[in-house]
Amino acid sequence: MLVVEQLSVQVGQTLVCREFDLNLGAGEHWGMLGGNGVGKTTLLHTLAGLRQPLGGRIMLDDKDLQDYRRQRLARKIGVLFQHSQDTFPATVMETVLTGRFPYQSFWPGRGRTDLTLADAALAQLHLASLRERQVDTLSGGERRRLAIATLLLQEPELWLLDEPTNHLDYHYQIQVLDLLSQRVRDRNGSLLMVLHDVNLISRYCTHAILMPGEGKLLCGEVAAVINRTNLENLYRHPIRALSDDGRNYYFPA
Amino acid sequence: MALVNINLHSTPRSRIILLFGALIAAAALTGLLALASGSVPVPLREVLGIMVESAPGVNAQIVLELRLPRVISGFAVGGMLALAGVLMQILLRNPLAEPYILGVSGGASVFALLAISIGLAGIWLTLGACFGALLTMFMVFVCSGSSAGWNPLRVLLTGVVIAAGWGAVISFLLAVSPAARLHNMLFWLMGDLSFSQSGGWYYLLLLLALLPAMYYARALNVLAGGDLQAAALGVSVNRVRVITYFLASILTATAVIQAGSIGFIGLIVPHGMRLLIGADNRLLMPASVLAGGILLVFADMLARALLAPRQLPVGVLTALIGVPVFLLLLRSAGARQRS
Repeated sequence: MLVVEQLSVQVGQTLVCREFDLNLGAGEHWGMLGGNGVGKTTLLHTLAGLRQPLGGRIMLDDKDLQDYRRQRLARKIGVLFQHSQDTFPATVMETVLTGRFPYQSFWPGRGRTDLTLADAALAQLHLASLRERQVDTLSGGERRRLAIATLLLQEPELWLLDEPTNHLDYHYQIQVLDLLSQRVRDRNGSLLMVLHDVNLISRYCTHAILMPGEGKLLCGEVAAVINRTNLENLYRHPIRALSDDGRNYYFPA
Repeated sequence: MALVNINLHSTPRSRIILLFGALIAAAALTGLLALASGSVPVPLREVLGIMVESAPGVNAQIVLELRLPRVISGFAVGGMLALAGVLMQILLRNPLAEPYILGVSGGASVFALLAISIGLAGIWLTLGACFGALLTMFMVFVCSGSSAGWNPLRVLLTGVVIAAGWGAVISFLLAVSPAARLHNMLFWLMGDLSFSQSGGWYYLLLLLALLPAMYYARALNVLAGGDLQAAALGVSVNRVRVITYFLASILTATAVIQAGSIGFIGLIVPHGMRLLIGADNRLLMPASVLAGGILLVFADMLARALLAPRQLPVGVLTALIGVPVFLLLLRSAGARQRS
């Protein structure tokens, strides 16, 4: 689905990746791990076509990202940003409906189908009762779920998520990740998410990208790349592993 | 039927129809009242008669030749300022933004005052203001552009600094001008419709600006959520920004050329309408145009009538009316949200 060839990305003086190749197939779930400031978000934005790479190219369905019209691209790639911004008052419903922007033409406006989709997404994220609330009165977790509901309305094929579990409690972390991976599977799409929780990545992802810094990237199937040694190198911190039900769980020592 | 679906969610259809109906009725009523009042009061019934069949007479002359052009241009100027205010607030992503914040009015004022101070009037005043406004528009555009694209904060800072520069030049001009010309200059600075000429072309301009603004209204809705979010949702952020900047600047420049710098309309009307009708720009922009027009015509009427035959600067009255109305709206919206 997404093919990355010889990609080099730099932000300021930080080299994020050099001549990096990646093939993101349909149905695959990728997790991205790395310390603070190694450029996870920058790489994610580059893959979404929101940033020019230093070199190399990114192909989506055999077509260069640069050759897509913005609106067309927005139907294919959806991004969940780390933070959401709001300057002007807007209601939850107004905000969630912006997710339909890629599908709307100029005049017919927000039709009934859009409203039905929006209500369904709000209900799935337990926001239905907040429909008419002003966004700036929501809690951090509620805002996060609102951003996810907006992304559900966008219905992309490739889902790029920047720390989707931020501000969410345990219950919602699992609920949201279940919901998102179900959606990705339903659409036969793929998913790439930045997470700081190794255990969530091994629970939800098929593949992982480890970013130890200085432009080095370690990619592969979760079983192959996520282990104690790699994680200790990644975080430069001793890691302990526990086993339960045949699964390994990692936490900082 | 397309209209029916607009914004079905947050603002009920009945409320939209009610609000626009009320705005249109208020516009007509304010227009009539403004035609009737002034230093020579003309009864409303006579105004209606004059409007329907242009009967000769002194009153007809006053209404048709003195007041009507002023009402017409007042409505257009008010609408332009309000629309420019909506656009600037989204463009700069700042609720405090208003049409004059980037110095367009300062630039226009400097050259208009220069014209007044050397004794020019009429078309030279207009040309001077026009030159100043365009000059500022391009200065801000060139100085704030960078390879990384358009950053609202950078634009805002550039504009504010240039506006401050013009402010200093204005003070300088006021300080060195002969006392005989100061009155005219101060009136111009405070905003005054008596300089404005009648003419349909600025309605054409208002319409020409409103059409693309409405076309990009949905994109602007999305842009309020941040540049990256908008880009990820399919908005060509830079293009929309540049278009918005030029629309807002041209509207402001035209308004300033017509009537000097009339404050508060461009700040208060957009926020007031947001409280009444919500943040959807497809509704907000036309509602603001109507409300801005109404407020300015009403303020101008009071400016002519309160101390007749003396005229007050209309900018003083827009503030005197706008501030309490806005505070009331803010209070009632706050109460609605708490309940």
